[in-house]
Amino acid sequence: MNNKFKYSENPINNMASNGTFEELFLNLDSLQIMYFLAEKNPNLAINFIAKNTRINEETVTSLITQMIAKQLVTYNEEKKGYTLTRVGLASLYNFHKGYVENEQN
Amino acid sequence: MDSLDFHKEFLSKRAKKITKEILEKSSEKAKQDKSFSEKLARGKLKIIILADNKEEGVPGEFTINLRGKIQELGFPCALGSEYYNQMEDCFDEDIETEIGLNNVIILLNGRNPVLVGESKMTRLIENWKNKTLFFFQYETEEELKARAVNKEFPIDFKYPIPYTNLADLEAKTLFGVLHWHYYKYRHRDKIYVECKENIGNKDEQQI
Repeated sequence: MNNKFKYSENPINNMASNGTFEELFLNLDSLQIMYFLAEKNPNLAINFIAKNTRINEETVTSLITQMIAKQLVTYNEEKKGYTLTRVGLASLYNFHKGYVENEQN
Repeated sequence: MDSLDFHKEFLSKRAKKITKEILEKSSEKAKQDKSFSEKLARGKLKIIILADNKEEGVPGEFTINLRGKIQELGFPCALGSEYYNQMEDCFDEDIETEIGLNNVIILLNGRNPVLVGESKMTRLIENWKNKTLFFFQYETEEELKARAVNKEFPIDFKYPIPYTNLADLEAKTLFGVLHWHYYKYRHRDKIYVECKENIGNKDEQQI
């Protein structure tokens, strides 16, 4: 049995991406997913993200697909999990510093 | 190369306190901010610091602090040594390829511009040369003039920046990084391609 991960096994590979870089930071579900990834990084499975953010799996999958297209998230084939990248963490940091920090205080 | 401890640590501490109401308010604020796109775009400019920390070069502690200051400005920034530590089983060529994926290379070399391998790489590869901010040290204005006349500085680099001391080096590095970002963003560089859609009229931008 070959244990190597097959490209087609990853459901998100066949989904089209849409939405701009900025739109992902204006979408509440997407923001919630990114904060969750930032907290729990690295290598998180879709169902784990969906369960903990209480966003349905289809939406999580669709948003993660868009994040991968914008290089905000990467997929680790061996560990079968998603990770927020350097670009993702720094962009979320910029969003947080610019717009969330004052709301939190 | 996905290590970015500074931003991860910052966010993981605050992520637990995030509520939907806070995100709704923040998102509304962001929509109304003209510089929203530029602020986010900082996250796309990947920076690496390569430094000669031996003998008369800059101290290792300085480069670590400098990386922190660049990260505080919102840019993903790593040190060359981190690549070597994380990829210790890889070939040098693979490490060099990874380093070359960064958008800006900051090369701090003190007085020994040919001591480290990366310095040689930045001279040999055209693509690297054009994105390298090379900093070299001088003591007096007379010395700087003499070095230029006698070609006693690396002429390969597009952006050689002389500095006098570490405080000067820090200020010039931060200035250089921010200027690079504003310039490339305003001129719609390919790394900001996703942000183009929201740029609109260049004159309306708040940068």
